[in-house]
Amino acid sequence: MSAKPTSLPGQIFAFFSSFGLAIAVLSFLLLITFLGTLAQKEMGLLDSQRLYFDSWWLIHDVNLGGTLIPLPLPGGGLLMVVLFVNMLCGAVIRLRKGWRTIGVLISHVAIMFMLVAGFVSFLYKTEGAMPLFEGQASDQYQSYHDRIIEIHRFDATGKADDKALVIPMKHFTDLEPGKARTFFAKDLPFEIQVTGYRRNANVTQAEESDKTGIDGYRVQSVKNAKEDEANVSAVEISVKPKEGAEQKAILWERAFEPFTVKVGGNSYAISLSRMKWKLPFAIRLNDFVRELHPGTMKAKKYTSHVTKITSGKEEPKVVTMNVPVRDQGFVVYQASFSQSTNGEQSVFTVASNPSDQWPLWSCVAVAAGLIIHFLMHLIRFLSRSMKPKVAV
Amino acid sequence: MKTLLLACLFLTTLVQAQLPDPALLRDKEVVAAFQSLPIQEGGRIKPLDTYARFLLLRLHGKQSIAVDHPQMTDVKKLNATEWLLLTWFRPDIARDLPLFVVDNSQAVGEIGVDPKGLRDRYSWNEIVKGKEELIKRAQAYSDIESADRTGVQRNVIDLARNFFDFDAVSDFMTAARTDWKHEISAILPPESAKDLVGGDTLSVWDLAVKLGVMIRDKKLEALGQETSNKILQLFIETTLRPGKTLAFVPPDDVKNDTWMQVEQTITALMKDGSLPAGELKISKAKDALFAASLKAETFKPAVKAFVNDIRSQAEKRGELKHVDREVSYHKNDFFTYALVWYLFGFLVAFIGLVAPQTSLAKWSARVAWVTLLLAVGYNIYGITQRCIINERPPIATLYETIIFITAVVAVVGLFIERFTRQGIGLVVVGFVGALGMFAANRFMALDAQDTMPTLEAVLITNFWLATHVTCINIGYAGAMLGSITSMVYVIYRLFVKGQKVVEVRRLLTRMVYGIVCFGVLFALVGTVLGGIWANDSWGRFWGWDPKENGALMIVLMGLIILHARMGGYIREIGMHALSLLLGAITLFSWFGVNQLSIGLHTYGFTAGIAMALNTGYSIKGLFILICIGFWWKERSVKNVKA
Repeated sequence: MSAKPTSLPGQIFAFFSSFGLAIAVLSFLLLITFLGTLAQKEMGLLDSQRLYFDSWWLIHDVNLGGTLIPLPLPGGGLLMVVLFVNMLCGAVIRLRKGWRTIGVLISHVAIMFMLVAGFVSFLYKTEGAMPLFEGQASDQYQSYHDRIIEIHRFDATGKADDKALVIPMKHFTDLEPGKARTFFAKDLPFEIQVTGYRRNANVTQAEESDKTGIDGYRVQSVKNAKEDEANVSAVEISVKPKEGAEQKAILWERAFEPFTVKVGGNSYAISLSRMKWKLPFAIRLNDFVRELHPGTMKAKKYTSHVTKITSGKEEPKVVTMNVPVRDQGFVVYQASFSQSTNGEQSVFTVASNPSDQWPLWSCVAVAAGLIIHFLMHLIRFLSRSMKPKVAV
Repeated sequence: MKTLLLACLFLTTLVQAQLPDPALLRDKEVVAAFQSLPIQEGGRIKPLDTYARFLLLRLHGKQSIAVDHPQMTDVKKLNATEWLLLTWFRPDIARDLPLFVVDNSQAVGEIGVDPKGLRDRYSWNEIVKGKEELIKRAQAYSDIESADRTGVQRNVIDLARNFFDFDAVSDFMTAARTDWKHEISAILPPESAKDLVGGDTLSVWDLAVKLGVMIRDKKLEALGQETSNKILQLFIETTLRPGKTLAFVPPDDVKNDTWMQVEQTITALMKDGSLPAGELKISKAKDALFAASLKAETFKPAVKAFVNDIRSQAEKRGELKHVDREVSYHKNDFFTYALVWYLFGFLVAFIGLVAPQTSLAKWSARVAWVTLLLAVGYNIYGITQRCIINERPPIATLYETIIFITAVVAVVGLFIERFTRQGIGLVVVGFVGALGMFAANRFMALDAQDTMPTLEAVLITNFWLATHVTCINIGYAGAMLGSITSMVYVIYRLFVKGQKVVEVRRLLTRMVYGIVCFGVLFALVGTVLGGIWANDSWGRFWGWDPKENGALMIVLMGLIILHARMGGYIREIGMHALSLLLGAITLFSWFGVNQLSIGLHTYGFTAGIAMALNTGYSIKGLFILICIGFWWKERSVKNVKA
């Protein structure tokens, strides 16, 4: 160990490059991984992931004989950023470079690259479902978790315009009953006030005496499902045109049709739905094959025979378990299937992730780095052990 | 319910006085032939021997059964196939044997059967007395959420399932034993009976064809509801229900990969009036076995012809290739032999440690090396046989992780011993090996299912099974070996005094460090490979799934140990304390997360592991506490010196 630095930047660098910090960060990461795993039993995967791993900090309630004691902890996001800085300072900048440390350097740089891959994926990855019946085609996939309020404009002839306004969920999920927020856009002739967001809700007929009901209906909260995909959200809105009367409505994910309002010469369709993304190609499901182990109901293989259509050009492809179809940065996976009276439906997961293959390169580098390093250690250990043996 | 009971009484009267000699059913050639009979179960072709073993294991808790019966005074124990043959051909005796294992006697008390010991075994004839109550309670308990059921409720449900499964198996030959002419004449008025019972003999197969015609021509219906019900009931009880228990008829159509049960062939025959020749021949040959079993000179040739016919069909279909290997795999019981030799090696190596530096120690080390190499040989040979039979890499189930990890620990342990030559490696390998083989055996008994099941769709990928799964399990093995070596350190430090103790302790610490490095390398690479597999399969690299998190925790703990060592935060005691903690985390990741029964990797959920797991955590915890004690003592000595 070199002498302790005296200057402030030197001290800061020493802190960020220290083994002590590495141990602290890794220990906290270990702890929140453990707590976040146990928490899934109660709160489900998505919520536990957001609370423990996608966060800067969190409050974990320690249950001591029925009493909950709040324990503040660093979140996964913060820990991974600090870990990155720590590796950069300690294992890259400060490290004495030479043949003896080449393995250490390679493996640390590779892990840093993996963290970057995770960060890029966290920021830019889109992922959603594309369910298709046999014969059906689509070039859209919709998010598993992200809800939006979208407003479409139709002109007097009924021709659809572009989306007039999209309100992402981060702007309205905090609006529990009693809280409201008003949204407006330059080319919208009305303001829209959103309130009463419920993550999982049912819409029921309101009692006649119930004054909070909207058009005879009311929103009823339902206990959140453990798997967020199963939640059916609802919000209440009121459309306030610059002239004319205010109109209230309930938006519900399971509603058969959007709420329509006429303002000026146009009509507007407003709905609460899942975020959708467009693919640069379309997928048509030709045939879905579900193979079972003979004599059982246990699946052996799911295969979707599809046609990839890129600007009119058709190309046959096969999507099956562990073998997705990749094109133009998008990946189409076989996720699940369902059977109904309408026939067999194959459900694909579509993902777009700029760092899709980065972990693979990183893995190869980590393995190489560690093998070089540990082999050098092993040779030293063995050569030491081969010296005259220690008697017991 | 009453009709079921009546049907049962009725069936017992069907059993004719003439029955085969039970000694014939234990004839070596007969048993060997039946053991090698290919059948289809759980989606794969396997020998009848495997079916019999796991059926008996589930019902009885063991793969053999003790016999104490007046009609079988010359025999004390039956193997699984012998028991199955007795059940088929002599159900009257099989129903007397104490078969059903009941963990809590309260379960039999609840159904009105006299309980014996707390955990005891009961015969079909004992349980049948409480049959109605058993059905009632099992139905009621099945309505309770499985997580909320008490142990006794689970026992009742299991008992009901086992009872009826055995009941159906014990009727496997009933159709062949039945005097159909007599039974049908008793049900039908003489006028109508003519159509059905005409001809010299009447087998269930002749009857099926005639019944089919009667059903199609609506003649059965015309006999009235009560009569037609009686005939159908007789048919269901003697033929269809027992016929569901075994798929042993390979279809004539080679493209069809689903083997048939008698229930299917006879239903097809009834429906269409005909059946492909091969299928009909094999289906009928099963019943002919019963008539042949009545004479010693006819039974053996009939069995051989029956088995050979099915085997040659299977061979034509390319489905016979691993059947004989599987029979020999189970017969050779590699892992029990491995257990014995590991245990022996452990004891011999331990003697060497107790009396170091003597010629006894030298010799015990030599003997231990030989026995442990033999044990590892059995362990690895058994795994290899499984790989060949399954046509896949060694690990895809929780059971397989146990035998594989044990083998890795043993190989790495012996490798370390080769260079350190202290005898410690031998003791550790013997101990872990014996413990691992014992755990594998217990796990199999607890799970009571074929240890070579067909896999879920997503797991059918030899590339990822060979890379990710193997790597991650080698990582587990490293972590387990490290933590057990740390336990040796703690025991050594507690009980061994002397001049050279410090050097041995240092060596143990170096060993643990090396093992942790080895474990981290494989755990880290294995975990990342898992992410890459997940990315190819589900479209995400990391999903914070419990099993993924478990693997990550092992990696993180390993990295903490390596960095703490390099940073000088831990030396000897700290290294061992953290290595023990790594062991506990590995147990959590290996078995603990499956107990949470959440996430995508819940393939290994097995009830009843909690107890063993908690014992494991407690032992690790205790050793960590002792390490803290060492540290405390060392610190106070330092303080005094200062």
